[in-house]
Amino acid sequence: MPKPKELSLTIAWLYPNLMSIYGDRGNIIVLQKRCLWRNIQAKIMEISLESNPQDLAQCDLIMMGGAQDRQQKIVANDLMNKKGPILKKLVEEGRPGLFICGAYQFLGHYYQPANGPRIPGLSLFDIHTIHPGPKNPRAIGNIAVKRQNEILVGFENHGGRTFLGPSAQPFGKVLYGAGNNGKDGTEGILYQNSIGSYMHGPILPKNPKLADWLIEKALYIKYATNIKLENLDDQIEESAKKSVLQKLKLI
Amino acid sequence: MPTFFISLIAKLISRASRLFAAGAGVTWPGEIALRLDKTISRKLSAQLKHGLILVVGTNGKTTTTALISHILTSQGYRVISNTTGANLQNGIAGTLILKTNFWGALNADFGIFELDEANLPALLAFIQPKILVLLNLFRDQLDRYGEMDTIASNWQKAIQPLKNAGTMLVVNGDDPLMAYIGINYPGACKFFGLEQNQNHQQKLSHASDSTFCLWCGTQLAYQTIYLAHYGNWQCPACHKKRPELESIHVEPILDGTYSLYNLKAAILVALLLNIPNEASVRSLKQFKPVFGRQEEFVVQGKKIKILLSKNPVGLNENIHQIVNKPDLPTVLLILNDRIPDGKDVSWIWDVDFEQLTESSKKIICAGDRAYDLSVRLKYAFSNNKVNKVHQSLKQKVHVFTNNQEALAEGLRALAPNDTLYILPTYSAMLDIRQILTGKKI
Repeated sequence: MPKPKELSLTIAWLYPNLMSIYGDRGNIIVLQKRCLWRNIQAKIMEISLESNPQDLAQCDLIMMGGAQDRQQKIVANDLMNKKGPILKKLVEEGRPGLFICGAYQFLGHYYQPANGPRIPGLSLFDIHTIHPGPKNPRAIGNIAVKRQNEILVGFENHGGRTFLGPSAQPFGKVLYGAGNNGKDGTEGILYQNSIGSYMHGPILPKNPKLADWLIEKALYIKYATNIKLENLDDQIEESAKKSVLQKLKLI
Repeated sequence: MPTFFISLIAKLISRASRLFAAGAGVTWPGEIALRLDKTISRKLSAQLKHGLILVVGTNGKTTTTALISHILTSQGYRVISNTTGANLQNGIAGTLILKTNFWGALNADFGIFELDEANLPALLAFIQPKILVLLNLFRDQLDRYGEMDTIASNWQKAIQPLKNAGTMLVVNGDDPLMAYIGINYPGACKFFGLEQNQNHQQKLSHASDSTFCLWCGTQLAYQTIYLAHYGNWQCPACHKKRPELESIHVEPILDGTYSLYNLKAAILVALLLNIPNEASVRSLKQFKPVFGRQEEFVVQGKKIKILLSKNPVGLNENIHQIVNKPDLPTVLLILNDRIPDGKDVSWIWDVDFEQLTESSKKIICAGDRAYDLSVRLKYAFSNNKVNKVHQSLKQKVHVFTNNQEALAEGLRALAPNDTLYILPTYSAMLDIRQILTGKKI
């Protein structure tokens, strides 16, 4: 097993120019810093339309955010036809990933817009998403979710309602907000070591334990051994989370 | 209902709302006036001797509107403007109606109004301006507007028919999206932008949008980038490029590259109204910054400057401005998440705070989401030794949940000739101004 000094991870940031309008860059920043702070060399690999799909195979952790409709259409093409197959294989094999909003929707079976034909997804996650039309309110607001004895906080902003298929396991249970569809109390999906979620905020800065969970999974897959991460002082992050929970009257 | 009565009612409501200290009292009267007669803005603006000038954009509308008003006023024109920033339809209706005389008639030459970007199509259904200024479109208040492209395409649809009314467009040619709308406009359109070689950046900042060709979807190439996605752009595939710019001379009476755009827009509008460039430049020497936009105060002998920071591009530009001063700045960041600020604060992760953590003396975080700011800053220090990060955090960054205390700390920490830079979101700016002046806007 390599000595702590020699650990390194490559983090894939999918479509940073096209799918990065909601501050999701923060997830990349947090993942990288939390590695560097523990002397784990963390490199970011930006994967764009022009990138060779094989580059993804060199990455230990994958992050993809949300975007506007026009950009999502451009990405959908690339994902379905070029990068999709290898992405599926990597996630199935256990490589950890974080897929937010539009990215989460893409990885499902399909997206049914309010008008127009159904848009097929990668079918990596057993979910499908339906947009109920402009007369229905978007799910916009702070969101709090229970996961593994922890409360996570974030912000959601989506028109689509996502429904989990029979084999799908939710990422968390909604304590405040809408989550997947505002009806069944579930938020996101957990599949192998990957997470699909509607949580912006971005999701990782105020939920550092989740960031560490992803890093640990990445190290495990890469080095084939359980590497326990050294604890960091997350008081500031805890204060920020507490402030939101107080605002939502959850504590 | 005749305008005379609507005008009386509106004025009463305005008195009442000011009596109850509910602010400037423009929006409510305007709202009621519109309910009583939804064409009231059209009727009143038709009385303007020389017509209406509208200014839209995400950043810069208040300053640009004020610059245009200043120039026209200095030339002897009677100007009506929504100076308090009430920029929805009810703000415009309210501003017009409150300026009517006892008989409900308007005596003015020009109406110059800033207009909120999502409201342009709705207003253009009623009013066709003499000049329409398109400054820019940036991501702002994610939860409120959702999709920038939707706004832009709504703008385009609403603007096309203005040709029949003879509306002239004044457009920021350095912004590919604005240029696209201008180029496609069948009527008269003039473009402004920067031509100089200074003030440029090496590459597109993270907080950029509209970097894909709107005609063919290819990624744009830039010969020079001035700010965010502004610059001398062209498409390597279909060869569309930045249109020819009007030659406009400005004196930088306001800081920051973004101010040059606002100044050029205002001087170009004046040129179209037959006011020579030099006359505008001369009159602007007396221009005083608008509330919250590079506005200066002196408190207990110490200097304060407020730089409104509403979105990633705006905040990046403000940070860029203050870290390039000769001395390390002391900064008070105030982040609120109320309706005027945008409830989703994720956008602070699209801001390049790394410049600020490197080049500052002290950073005070305040507002509803003060702690979110402190988390962002923690991850913005360049040193990767975690002990050093915590040390710097402790030394440099302070969190306050009360704006008065935050301000007091900022002033206390200030060296004798330094300036305290306050970078607030909109509602926080109103709050801090109230603390500084004892008055609401």
